[in-house]
Amino acid sequence: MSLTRRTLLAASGAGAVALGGAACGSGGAMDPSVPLDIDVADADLSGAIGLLTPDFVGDDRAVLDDDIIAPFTKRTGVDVSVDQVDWNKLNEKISTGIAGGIIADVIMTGVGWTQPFAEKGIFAEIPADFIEGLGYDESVLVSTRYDGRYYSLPQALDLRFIGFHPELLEKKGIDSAPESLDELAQAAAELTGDGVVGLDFLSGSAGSARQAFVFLLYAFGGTMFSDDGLAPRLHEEPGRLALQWMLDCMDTGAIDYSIQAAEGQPSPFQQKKAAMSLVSTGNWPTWQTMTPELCEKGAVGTFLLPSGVDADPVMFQGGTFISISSLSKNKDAAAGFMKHMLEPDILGKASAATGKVPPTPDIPETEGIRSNLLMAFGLENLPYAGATEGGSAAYMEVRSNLDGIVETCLTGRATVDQTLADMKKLCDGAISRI
Amino acid sequence: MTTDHAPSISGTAPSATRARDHSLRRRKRTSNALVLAFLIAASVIMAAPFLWMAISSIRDPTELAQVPMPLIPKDLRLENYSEALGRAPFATYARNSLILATAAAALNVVFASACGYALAKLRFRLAPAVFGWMVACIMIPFYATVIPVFLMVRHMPLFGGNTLMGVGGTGWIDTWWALIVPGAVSPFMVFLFRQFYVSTPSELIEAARLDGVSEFGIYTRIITPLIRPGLLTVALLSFEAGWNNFLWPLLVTTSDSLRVIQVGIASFRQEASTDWHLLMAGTTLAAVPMIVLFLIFQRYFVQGFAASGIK
Repeated sequence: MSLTRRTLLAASGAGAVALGGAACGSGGAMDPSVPLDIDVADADLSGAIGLLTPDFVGDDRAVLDDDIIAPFTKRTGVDVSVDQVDWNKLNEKISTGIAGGIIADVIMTGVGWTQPFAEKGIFAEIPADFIEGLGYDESVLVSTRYDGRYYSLPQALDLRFIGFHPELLEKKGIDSAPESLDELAQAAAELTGDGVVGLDFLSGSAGSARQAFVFLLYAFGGTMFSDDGLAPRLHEEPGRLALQWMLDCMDTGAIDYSIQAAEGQPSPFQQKKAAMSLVSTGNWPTWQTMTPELCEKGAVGTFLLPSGVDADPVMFQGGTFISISSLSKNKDAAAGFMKHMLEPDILGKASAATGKVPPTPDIPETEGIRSNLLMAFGLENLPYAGATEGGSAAYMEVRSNLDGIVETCLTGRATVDQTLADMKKLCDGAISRI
Repeated sequence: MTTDHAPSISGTAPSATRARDHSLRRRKRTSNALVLAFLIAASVIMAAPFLWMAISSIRDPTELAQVPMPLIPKDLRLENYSEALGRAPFATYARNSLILATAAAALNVVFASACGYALAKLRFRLAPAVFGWMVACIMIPFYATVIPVFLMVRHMPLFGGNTLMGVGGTGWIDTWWALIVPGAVSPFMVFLFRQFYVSTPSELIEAARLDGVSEFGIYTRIITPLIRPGLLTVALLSFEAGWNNFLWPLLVTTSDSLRVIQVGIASFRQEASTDWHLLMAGTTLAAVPMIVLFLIFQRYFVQGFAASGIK
C-alpha cells in the first residue's frame, strides 16, 4: 500500500486517539455516555458551543452568522463560535481534535463519514423518534446510521446526475433520455466527434474517479459494503461491470480520460466540449459566474443515471451532515442548535446561501431555490438519491486510497480483475484495523 | 610608409587572422544568442504560472470558461481585487501571516544558527550522532508528526487552564504560542547553518580564544558575521515557510482572529465550485510580499545556497 499523507495522519491519529481519550478522561469534565436530550426547552439552554463546518465560506459566512446563528443566540442565549475548515482538511482537523480531546460540540461532515466517527464513539446517538418525526426520505437517512442507530442528520445535499446540451443531442437525432446504461453508452458514442466528447464522466467538477465508480456501482445494483459494514462488496460483479462500462466507453471515445477537468476548473461540459456530463447541484454557482448562459431555462437538460440491471435510475448523493460530539460539555445546547439548523426556514436560508440542496422539499421557497434548476431537479428526484459512498466504519481509510486504484484501472496500468482484487485488499485491510 | 604588423605566431597571414577572429566572434555571438534564447525560454516557462495567475486575476470570470481563452484579457476587471478582499478579513489574515512569518524567520535565525554553530565548531563526542539525528529529522514528513506535536501543544502544562499535568484546559490551542513555537527551530535550518559554519576558518576561533573572547562572543561577534548570506537565506526560507503555512494554523486555531492568509485564500474554493477570478486575485496579493523579498535579497540568497553547497 502506498504511504500517503492521509495514511500517515490516519496511522498517527489512530495511535493518538487512545492517548487523547485518556487525557480527556483524566480531565473529568466530559462524559461521552451522557445521552442526547433533544427536547430541552430553549429557556433551559445556556453557555457556549463550538461549530465545526466546512460550508458557509466567503460571502456565505455572513448568512451563517447573521441569519442562522444570531436568531438561535437571541432565542436561547447560547453563544456559538464557528471554526471553519476547508473540506480537504476537515478529516485532519477532526482527527487532531479527537486526539487532543477538544473537538467542537456540533460537527458538520460528509456522506460516508458518519460510520467511522460513530464507531470511534465520537458522535453522539440521535434519538430515532426525533429523526423519524422529521419526515425525511429514507434515501437521505441511509448514511446517517451506524449499527442500526442514528448519528447524524443531513443538513444540505450535493446531488449528481447527468446533464446534457439539448441542441447537441437534437443534432444527432437523440430526442429522449437513455433508459439503460447500454443506451447511454451508445448515445455517448454517437455524440462523440467534431471536437466534442459524448460523455464527460470523470471531471472533478462533479466528483472524482472514485465517485464515478461508486455511482456506476449502484447503477449496476451493487453496494460498497455489506449491511454491517464488515465485508467489502464493491469488488463483486456490479463492480466489475462498472469498471468495464467505463473502459468500454473509453475504447469507443465516448469517454475521454484526457479531457477531464480538475476540481473547480471550467469543465468540458461548460465549454461545450462534452455533450453530456456528470453534473452536481453544487456546480450551479460556478455556472452562474462563469457560464451564465447555462443557467437559462432549457439551456441544459438533465436525467438520472439509468440502471444497468433494469432497475430504477439512480442519483449520487453527497452533502453535509450534522452531528453532535459525544465529548461535548454542553450537549443540550448542541442538540438545540442542531434542531435549529434543521428548521425549514433555516434550511431554506442555508440552501439559498450555499447553493446546496436541502434534505427535504418541505421548505419555504426562496428566489435562490426557485431559480436553481439543478436544485429543482435534485429535489424532485430525492427518492432516487441512493448512490452513496461509505457504509463501513473503515471507510475513511478506504476513501483516500480508492481514487488511485480506480485511476490505475482507467489508465490501463491494471486489469479489471487486478483492480477489483486491489479494492478488496484495501477494504479488508482497513476493516481489519477497526 | 610602412606599417608594422605583429608577426603571427603561427605564421598565418593577417587577413587570415582577421577572418579567424571574425569567425570566432561570430561563433561567440551565436553561442551567446543561443544561451540567451535558452535562458529567456526557461525564464518564460518558469514565470508562466505567475504571469497566468496575475493575468487571470484581472479577467472577467466568463472569459475563464471561453474556448479558446484569449491570452490578454479583453476587459481589465480590477474589481476582482476589491471583491476578493471583501470576502474575508484579509487585513487580519495578512497581519497574522506577517507576525507568524517574521517570528519564524527571527527564531530560526537565532536558535538554528546556535545549533548549527555548535554542531560545526564545538567539539563534543555526540556531535556526529546529534547531526545525524538532525538530518534524519528532515526526512520525517510533517504529517507523521502533526498529531504528536498537536498533543504537546494541547497538553502544555499551566497554559489555557491546564494543570501541571497538562490536563483540564486547552493548553496552547488557539493561541499565538501554538502558531509560533512549534516552528521556531527547523532541523533543515540547523543543517543549513551547520554547512555555512563548516566553511568558516577555525583559526579565527582559536585566535579569538587566545585573545580571551568568550565562546558566546566568538559565535556572535567573530563567526556569525562571516555567514551573512546564510543568515539571509535561512531568514528568507523561514519567512516563506511561515507565510505559506496553511495546515498547522488551521489545526491549532479555531477563531478567525488567529487565522492566516492561506486560510483566507482557501475560502474561494468550495466543495464543488471555485471562484477562479477571486482565487487568482487573492493568490496574487498573497504572493506579492514573497516576490518583493526575493527580488531585494536574491543576490544573498543565491550566494547563500552556493556557499552551503546546496544547489
